Amino acid sequence: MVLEHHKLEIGDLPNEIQLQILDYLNYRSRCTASEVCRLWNALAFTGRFMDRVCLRLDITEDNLKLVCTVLSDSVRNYRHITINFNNQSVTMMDYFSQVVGENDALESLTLWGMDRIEPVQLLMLLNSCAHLERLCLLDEQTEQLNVTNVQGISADDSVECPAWLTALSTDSPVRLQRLRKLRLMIPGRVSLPSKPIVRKFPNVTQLHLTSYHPSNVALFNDYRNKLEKISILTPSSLFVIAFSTISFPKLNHLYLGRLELHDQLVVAKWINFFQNPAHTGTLEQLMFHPKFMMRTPIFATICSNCGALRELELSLDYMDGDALKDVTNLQHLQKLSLQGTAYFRETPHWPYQIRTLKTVRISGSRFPINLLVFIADIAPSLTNLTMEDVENPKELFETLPELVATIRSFQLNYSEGFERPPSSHPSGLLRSMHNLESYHLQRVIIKHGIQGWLQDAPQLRMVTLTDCSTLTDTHLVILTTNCPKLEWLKLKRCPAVTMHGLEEFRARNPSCKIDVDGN
Amino acid sequence: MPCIQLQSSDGEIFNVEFEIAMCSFTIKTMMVDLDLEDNCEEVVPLTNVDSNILRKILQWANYHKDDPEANPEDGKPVDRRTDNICEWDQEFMKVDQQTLYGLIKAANYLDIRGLMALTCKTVANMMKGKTEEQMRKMFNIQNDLTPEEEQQIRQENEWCEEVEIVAD
Repeated sequence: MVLEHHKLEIGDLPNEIQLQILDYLNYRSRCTASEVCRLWNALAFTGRFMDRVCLRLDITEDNLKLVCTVLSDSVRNYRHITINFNNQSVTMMDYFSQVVGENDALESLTLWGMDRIEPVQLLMLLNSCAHLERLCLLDEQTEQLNVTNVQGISADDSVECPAWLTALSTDSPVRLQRLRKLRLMIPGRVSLPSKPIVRKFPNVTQLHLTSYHPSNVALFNDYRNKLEKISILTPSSLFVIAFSTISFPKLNHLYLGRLELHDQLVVAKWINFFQNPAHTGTLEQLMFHPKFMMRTPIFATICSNCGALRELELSLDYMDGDALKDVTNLQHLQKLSLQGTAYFRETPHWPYQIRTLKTVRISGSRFPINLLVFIADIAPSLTNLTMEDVENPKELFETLPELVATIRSFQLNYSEGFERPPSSHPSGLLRSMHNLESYHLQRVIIKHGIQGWLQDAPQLRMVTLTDCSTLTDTHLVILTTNCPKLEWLKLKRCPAVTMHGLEEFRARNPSCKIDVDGN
Repeated sequence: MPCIQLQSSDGEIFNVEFEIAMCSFTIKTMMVDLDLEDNCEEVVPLTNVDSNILRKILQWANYHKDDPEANPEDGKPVDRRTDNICEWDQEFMKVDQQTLYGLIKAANYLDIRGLMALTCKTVANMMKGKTEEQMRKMFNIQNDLTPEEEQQIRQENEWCEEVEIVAD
C-alpha cells in the first residue's frame, strides 16, 4: 500500500539515468548540481565529462594543507591537472604527490613555478602518476603563457639549468611507460642528457623542446624511430646541422619556430632534411616559421618532396610572392595558413590548382588582396576563409565577394594589439556570398545603414560576433529577417546589445540557439 | 496494418501497430527472440509500465513514427543540446514530475532512445540556471552534505575549469 502512494522522485531513478540527465548540463550547471547532494557530487564529475575538466592548482605556503585535505576527500578522478608551485618550497611533497597520484585516470600533467622544487621532489611527484600520458614542464620564465597551447612559446636564451630539471638527468627508478607526449619549455641553452630521459620515458612519440643546445639532438636521435610529432624553437646552426641528418620514419607533424636562415650551410641542411624520403613521405602537418627571410630554395624543396602534406603553416615575410606558386605541387593540401606579407611584382595567374584545399587562413598581411587573388586562383574548392589582422580592409570588402564566391565559412578577426580595427558598412562585405553558412567577426566596427546586413547570405546558420562595440539591438532584428535559417547566434562582449534586444530576437526566432558571454 | 498486443502492468491491453511498437528496442528484440513477428495473437506483457504511462508513450511513438532512426554508432558527436526540442514535444512534456520520471523509467526499460533523450533533456532544462538550493527544492532532494563537505566541494569547483579537448 505504501508503495502505491509513493510519489516517484528523481532520486528513485537509477544512478545511471541520473547521470544521463546530468550529462545534458553545461559546465556551470554541472558545478552547481555537484553541490546539491553526495550522489550528484559523485555523478556530476565522471565519465567523458572529465575530458573537459582541468584541475588548476595554485600552490602557496598557506593553501598547501587545504589543497591536500580537499583532494584527499575528493571523489573525483581528474584527467588533467595543472600545478603552479609559485616558486615556493613545498614541505609535504610526499603527501601532496600521494593525493595527486590517487587520480588513476590522470593523463596530463603540467607543472611550473618550480624554482624551489628539489629534483627528488619532482621525481616523487612523477613517480606517483604512473598512468601519465602527457607531461609538460615549464620553466619560470614562460609561466605567463597559456599552458594549454605552448606552440608559439618563446624560450629565453639563458644557459642556467633550473635545479628541478636535473631530476631528469638522474638515473632513478621512475619509468612512465605510458607517457607519449613530453614538453620541456626550458631555457634555450640548457643541455639535457639523453639516456636518462629516454630510460624514464621510453615510449615518447611527441617531443616538444625549446632548448636548442646542439647536444640535445641526441635526444631526438634516440627517439627517432618513435617520434610522430616534433616541435623545436630557434634551433642554432650546430643544432640544425646535427638534426637534419636524422631520419624520422614516423614523423607526421613538425613545428619549426623562429628559424634563422642567414647561414647558407643551414639552408642547405634544411634542404637535405626535406629531401629525406624516410620522413617526408609521412609528414602531414608542417608549421614552418623562418625568423627573417624566407629562402625560397627550402620552400621549393618542401613543395616538391612533402607530397603527403595536408596542412601547411608558413611565415611569409619578405618572400617573393611568385615563389608561392610551388605550393601547387602539394596536391593533397587541405589547410593552408599564411602569416605576414609576400611581395608580388604582379599578380599573374597560376596554371595549377589544388582541388583538395578547403581551408585558408591569412594573417598579419599588409597586402592581403594579392594573397587572396593567388588563393582564389589555386583553390577552386575553398570553403573556409579566415583573415586575421590584415590591412586594407576597405579594399578587401570590395574585392572579397567576387574573388571567392564559394566560401561557406568566413572569419574576420582583429586582435587587441591591432591599431586600426576596420569599420565596415554591414552590407558591403557580404555582397553575393550566397553560400555562406557561418560568419564570424571580431573587433570589427559595424557602421550604420543596417537594412541590408547579411541580406545576400540567406544560407547563414551560424553568426559569431565578438568585441563588436557598435552592434545594436536593431542589428539583431535585421538578422531575424535577413537570415531565416539562423540556428546559432554567439555574442561575446557586445556591450550595446541589451537584454531587451535579446528577448526580441528570441521571440522572433525561437528555434535559434543563443550564447551570450560577457555583455 | 499488422498489430501486436501490449499488456500494461495493471492489466490493460493495447492494440498497437507493429511499426509503432518497433520504436522500442526491447520489444523489437523480444519479437525477434521469441519469433513473434508473424504472430499477432500473442500478448506481450510489460510488467514495468502502467497503463497511464504506456498510453503516453504510444501517443509519443505515434507522432514520431516517421522520424529517422537514431543510430548511436554513426560517429556523429553526441547531441548535448537541450534547446532543440520541437514544439509538439515541448507540449507533450508538460506533465507533472511523477509522470516525467515514470516516462523516463519506462523509456529506459523499453529502450526508446528518442524518448529517453527528450525526457532527460526536459529534466536538465529544469535544472539549468538554478542554484543548488533551488535544485534541492524543485526535486525534493535532502541535503546530505555536512557544511564542511559543502565547503570542500565548492572549493574544489573553484579550482576546476573547463578546457577544450586538444586532439593529439
